[in-house]
Amino acid sequence: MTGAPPPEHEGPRDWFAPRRNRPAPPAPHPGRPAPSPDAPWAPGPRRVFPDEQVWPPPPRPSREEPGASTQPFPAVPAVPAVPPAPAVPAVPPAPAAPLPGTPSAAGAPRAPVPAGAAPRWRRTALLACAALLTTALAVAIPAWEDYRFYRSGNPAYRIHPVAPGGTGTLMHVAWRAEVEQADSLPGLGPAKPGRKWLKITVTRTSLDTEGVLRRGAPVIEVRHPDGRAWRAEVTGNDLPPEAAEHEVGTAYRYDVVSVVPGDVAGQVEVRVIPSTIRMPLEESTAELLKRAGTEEVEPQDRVLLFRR
Amino acid sequence: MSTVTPERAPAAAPPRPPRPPGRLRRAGALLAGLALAAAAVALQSAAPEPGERGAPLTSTGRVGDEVAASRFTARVEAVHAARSVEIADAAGAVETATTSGIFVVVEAAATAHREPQKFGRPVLLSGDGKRYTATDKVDSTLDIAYPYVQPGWWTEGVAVFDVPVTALTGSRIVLAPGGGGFIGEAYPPEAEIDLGLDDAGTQRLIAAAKDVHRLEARR
Repeated sequence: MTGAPPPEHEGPRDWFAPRRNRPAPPAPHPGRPAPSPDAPWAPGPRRVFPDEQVWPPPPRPSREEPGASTQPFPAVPAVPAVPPAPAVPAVPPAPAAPLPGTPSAAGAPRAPVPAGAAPRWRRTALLACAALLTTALAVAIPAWEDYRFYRSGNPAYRIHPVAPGGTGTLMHVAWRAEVEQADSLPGLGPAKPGRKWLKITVTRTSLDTEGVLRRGAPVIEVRHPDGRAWRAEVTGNDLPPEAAEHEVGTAYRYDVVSVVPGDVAGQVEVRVIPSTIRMPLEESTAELLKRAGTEEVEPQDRVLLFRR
Repeated sequence: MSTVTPERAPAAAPPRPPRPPGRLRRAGALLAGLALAAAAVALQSAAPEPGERGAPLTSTGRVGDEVAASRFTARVEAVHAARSVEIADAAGAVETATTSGIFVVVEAAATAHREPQKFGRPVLLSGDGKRYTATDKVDSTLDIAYPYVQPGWWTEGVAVFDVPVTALTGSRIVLAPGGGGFIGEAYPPEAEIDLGLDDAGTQRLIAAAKDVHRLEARR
């Protein structure tokens, strides 16, 4: 807008035409010739210019733009994608494209390999360890579950040995076992050749009221130290039918009969596995139903082993 | 563009050191994967069928053999055929069982290895694949399944089957411990004893069939 004051009325002039004595305004873009002032305006070829950031000022490019260089990028090796070791010199800029096979190109992709070799070895070892661990867990966890299920039905027995003729105390009850050999028993007749009857008397004495609560029938076994076992049939007992009559300190008897081979009749041992069930002295059915399932069941795994 | 594209690199330099091992390794990994997949499929086809899972482990033998299973040993001593079976109980009362087919009386004995065992009802597997359970027409105290089989001696008993004559050829008797528990045992032991009844043996058995086979109650 600076310039000489406009001369007045030097000729007919269009409103939009530039003033005659004014220097032509700078062409919006270089390369496009400025229209002569007197030439009538004619539409030129339409040009579209991209948006250009003016504010805030665009950051000045610190380096060359990718397209600005004629220097081709060197081929980047796909593997290993690890930064080259510091000792390896950077690829020197070469005036021409580094031809594969030339020392500079052959050295560049090979340089990271020694640096990546150790991690790859370590990674393989890690993978192998993980595979081993996973396999071991995949085998061990179901096996442990199965073992626990098996143990729920076959408890690992805890043996409490009792000296010959002695008394074993377990869970507030004192137990004794006596074994008599017999060739013939009344009511059962003579034993078959090579076998002997065993008449076993197991007595229980409750030491206190807790022992009375644990008056459930025990499991009685006849077993040789080599592991062979024979049936032991409980033929009767003299426990009072009513819990209230069960006295502390009184011995009650289980009569047991077994038949074993004659040559081991003097060696077989009696095992008594007391019941772990606690039966209250007096309890209505409603109380029993209320109690059912609330108590933790003790595993019946404690065994009294009466030595001969 | 002026950059070297990755596709061009191997074509331009086939003998570049890191490339061929990668390709070989990839082919090896593919082969190993295929082999593992094939092995997995093959292993699946070798897995037991649902019906075979937990099926009894069968020991087999012939008449007179001592057939040892894991927990007991069984033996068939004799096989008889009869048109009727007479059972005399301890009191002397006699009961007669009759059939429209034929009675097969198997005399068997068994002993246990460690723990007392009790057999379930014996089964006769006929040659045509049918199963016959021991008949309930005879007193069960005579049955091999009645007494406990214990270590140290042989326990004897009979198994009486009431079968059609056509079932005799190729038949076998199966003795197995009775399933006592609530949870069935997986892979229980069983003894399968061939009664030796080929065509000629069947003819002989039928020819020798007694009209009345007498069983004495024990004791």
